[in-house]
Amino acid sequence: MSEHLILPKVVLVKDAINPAYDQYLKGWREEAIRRADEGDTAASICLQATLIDLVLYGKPRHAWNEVMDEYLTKDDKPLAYSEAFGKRLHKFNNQYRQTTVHAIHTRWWIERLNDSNAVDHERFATLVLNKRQEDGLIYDADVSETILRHRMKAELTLSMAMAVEILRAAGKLTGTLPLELSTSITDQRKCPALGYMSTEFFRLKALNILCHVNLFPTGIAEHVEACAEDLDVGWCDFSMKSKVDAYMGTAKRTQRDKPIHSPLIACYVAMLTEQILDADKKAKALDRLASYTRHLKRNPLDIPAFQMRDVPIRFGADKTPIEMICASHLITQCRKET
Amino acid sequence: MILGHLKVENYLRKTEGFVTGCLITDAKDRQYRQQYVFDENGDNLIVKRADGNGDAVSVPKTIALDESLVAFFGLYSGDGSKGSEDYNEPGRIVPNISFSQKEKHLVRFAVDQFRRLFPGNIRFTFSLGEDSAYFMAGDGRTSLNDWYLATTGTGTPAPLSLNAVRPSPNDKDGQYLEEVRPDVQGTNEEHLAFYYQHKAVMEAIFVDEKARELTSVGINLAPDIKVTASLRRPFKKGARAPGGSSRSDEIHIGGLNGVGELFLKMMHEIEDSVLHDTKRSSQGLVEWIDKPSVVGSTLDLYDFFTNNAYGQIDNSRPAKLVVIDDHVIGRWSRSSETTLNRYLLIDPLWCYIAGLYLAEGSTPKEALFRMFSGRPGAMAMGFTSSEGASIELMLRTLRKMFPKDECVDAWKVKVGSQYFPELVVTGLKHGVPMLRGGNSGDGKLRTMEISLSIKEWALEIADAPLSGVKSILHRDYADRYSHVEPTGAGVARIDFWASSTLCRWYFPLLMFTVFGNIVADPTHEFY
Repeated sequence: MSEHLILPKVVLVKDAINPAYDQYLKGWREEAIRRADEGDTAASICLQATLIDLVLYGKPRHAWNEVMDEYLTKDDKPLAYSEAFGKRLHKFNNQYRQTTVHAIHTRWWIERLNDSNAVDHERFATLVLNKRQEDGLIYDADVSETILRHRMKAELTLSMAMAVEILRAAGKLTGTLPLELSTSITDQRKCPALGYMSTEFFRLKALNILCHVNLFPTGIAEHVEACAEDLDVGWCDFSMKSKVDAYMGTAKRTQRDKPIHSPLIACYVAMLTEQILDADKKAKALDRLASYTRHLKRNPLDIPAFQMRDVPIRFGADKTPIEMICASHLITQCRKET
Repeated sequence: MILGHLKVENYLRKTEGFVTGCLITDAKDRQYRQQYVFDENGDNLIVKRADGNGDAVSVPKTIALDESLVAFFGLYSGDGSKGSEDYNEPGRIVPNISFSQKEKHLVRFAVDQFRRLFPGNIRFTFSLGEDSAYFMAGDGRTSLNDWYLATTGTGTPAPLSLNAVRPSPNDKDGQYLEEVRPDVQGTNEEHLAFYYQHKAVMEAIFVDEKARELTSVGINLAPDIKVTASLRRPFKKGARAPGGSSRSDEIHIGGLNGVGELFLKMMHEIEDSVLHDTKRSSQGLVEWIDKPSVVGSTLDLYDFFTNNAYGQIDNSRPAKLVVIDDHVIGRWSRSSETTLNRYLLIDPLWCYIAGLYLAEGSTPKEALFRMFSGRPGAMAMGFTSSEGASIELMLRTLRKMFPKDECVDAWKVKVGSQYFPELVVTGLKHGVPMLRGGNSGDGKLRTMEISLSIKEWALEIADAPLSGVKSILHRDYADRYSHVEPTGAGVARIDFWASSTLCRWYFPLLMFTVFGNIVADPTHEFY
C-alpha cells in the first residue's frame, strides 16, 4: 500500500478513484504520456501520473522512472523540468534546469515505489542535506535566491517534510539533528504560524517524522475555524482576513476576494484536527468534514478555482489529479462511515 | 479632423434621461445608473439629476469628437476616477469626476478638454498626496530644510517627542503605533512625532511647488483653481523607506456633481464602438463619421519623419529613412533599423490608445515631452492592464504601424502580494511549492506549473470582451508568455513589452495625435 506525504492518509490502491473522475484522469494520463514521448515532462507530471497509475491500476503501469532517467536527470541529479517542458514558457531557458527538493523527493518516491530495495537513500539524503541553509531550514536557495522573510511559508514546511522523509529512510535522523530541524521549523521568526492549512499540515508532517509533534504551535483550532469563514462547505487554505500587509489597509483590497474549498485542503484539515485539544472545536471541525464529504459525494465535480474578485474566470487550477484523488478518498471515507 | 460626434441630446431623449452601464475595473464588476432631466439652453443642455440633487451642468447638445478629445477619453480611461462604491448599495458605483496626473502638460491638456465638454462654471482643485516618509531623507529632506531656512533662518529643527507634538493621539494614531514594519528603522513613535512636527510645513511645500508648476503651463490660481496637499503618516501611503515616494496628483472637478454617470457613459460608448468597430455605439451616444476603422486622416510616415515638427527626436531626423513599396525602412541615430507601414490612418482607435498609453504606458511621461529637444534617455515600450479590451486595443494600434512579429517581445502576468496565497494553492494542486525569484521575491517565478496555470487565466481575460473571438494576444502571441511576476500590490494584470526601438517611432506619432492641434512646435513649447 502506497502513500505520499502531500496526500495524507490517502490510500493509493486500485479502484480508489470515484467513477466521476475516471475519464478525466485517463485523459490527463494519456496527454502526459504523449507529451513525455516528446521529452516534454516535469517531476510534478511524473508524480501525478504515477498517482493516477496507482489509483486506476494499483501499480505503476507506465515507466515514469525511465522517463525521469531520460529527461529529468542532469549530472546524476533529478530535475524539476525537462528541456522541452521549459520551452512552454518563453525565454525560460536559463531557469528551467532546477534540482528542487520536490524534484529530489519525487524521484526518490517513484524509485522506491518501483523497487524499494534498489533505492540509494544515501545519495538522496546527500542531495537534500546540501540544501540545508545556515538558518537551519532545508529549502531551494540555489534555485530561488529570495530571502527567508519573503519566501512562501508553505515552501519552507513542505521542503522540510520532504527532506526529513528522505533523511529518515537513509537513517540520517540521529543525534541532535531531529531536534535541530524541529526547532528551526517551529521558530516563529523563521517560519511563523500564519494559519495556512497547507503550511501547518506540512509542519506537522515534518515534526511527526522528526518525532517532535509536541513542538507543533498552539492555536490551530482558531485557524481551522477561520479558514471555513465565508464558505458553505469545506475549507480554504487560508482565511481572507489573514491576508495582512504591514503598510496599507487590506480590507478594501481583499473584500471582494472569494475563498474556495478544496478536497486537498480538507485532507490537511483532517490531519490538523488531531491537534485540536478542545473537544467541542474538534467535534465541530469533524462535523464540517463529514458535511463536506457528503457534499463531494453529491457534487464530485465541484472543485473550484480561485477567481480575481468579480471576474468569473479561473485564476489558477481547479480540478487536478491530486484534487480528484483527495476527493475520492474523502468520498470513500464518507461511504465507510454511512 | 472631426471623427464623429457625441449625440448627447439624442441619447438623453431616447433613454428618457436614464444613463446606465456596467464597469469592470480592478476586477470589480459594478454598475452605474442615474436618471437625468434636462432643459435646452441654446446649443447646450442644462443637465441635472432627476432627484434634484447635484449640480445643474451645461453640456453641448452635440460634441464634436476630434483627435484630441478622443485621446482625452483614452487618457481618462487610464488615469481617471471611475467612482467609488455606494456604501448603501454594494455593486453600484457613484462616479465622481477626478483625474490622476502629475505631468504638467497633460494636466493642462485635461483641463482644456474638461472645459470643452462642460462649458459652464466648473472648478478645479489640484490635490497632491504624499507619504510623509518622503521628507525623512533625500530630496524631501533637503526641501524641508530649505523651507525652514527660508522661513526661520535655521534649518529643520531638532526632533520633538510625540507627547510634545501630539499630546492627545486619536484612534488612527493609536492604530498606527500598533503596526509592525520590520523593514523600517526607527520606532513608530518617532515616525508619528516627525509627522505631526512637520505636517503643516510639508503641506505648504507641496502647495507652493504645485502652484508654481501649474503657472508654468498657464494655469494660475484663482477662485475656481485651487491647490491642496495631504500628507499621510510615514510609510502608510506606500513609501517603504525614508525618502521613498508614493506621490499622487489628483485633479478634482467641481460643478459636475451628478453627471459622472453621463461622463462614464461617453467614455464607455467610445471604447466599445472602437473595440467592435461599429459606426454607432450600442446606445447611440457615439456616432462616428463612418466605421471607426476607416475614419480619420492618413499620415505618410516618410513625410512625417522628414518634415513634421513632431517627427524629430533631440532636434534630429532619422539617420535613415527609405521608402520601399508600402513600407518605410528607418533607423534613428544610435538605434536599430525598423520597418514601418508607410501610411497610417489616425483613426479613433489610434487616438484613444494614444491617450491610454500616455496614462498607462511604462515610459516616464516627462521623457515623452522632452524627447523632441533633448536626448530621450532609456525608453521602454510596455503596457500593463487587467482588462482584456485595453490589451486588445493597444495591440491593434501597434500593428497598424509595425510588423506583427515586432509588436510583442514577451508578456507576463504581474500578481500583487494579496494574491500570493492563491498562487501557493495553485502550486499545491499540482504537488509543488511556490518558489519565488529575485532577492526580494519579485523576480521571475521559478515554479512553472503556477505560471502555466495563470497563463490560461490571462488568455481568457484577453478574449473576454470579444464575444467568442480570440484576442490578438491569444491568437498571435500566446507562445510569447514568459512568467508570473509577484509584485507589490494589486490585482493580477497582463503586462507586455516590445523592443525599445519601436519607441522612437511610436512616441512622436502618439504625441502628434494628442497635441498636434494644440502645440505647433514641440521642441520649444513643452520644456
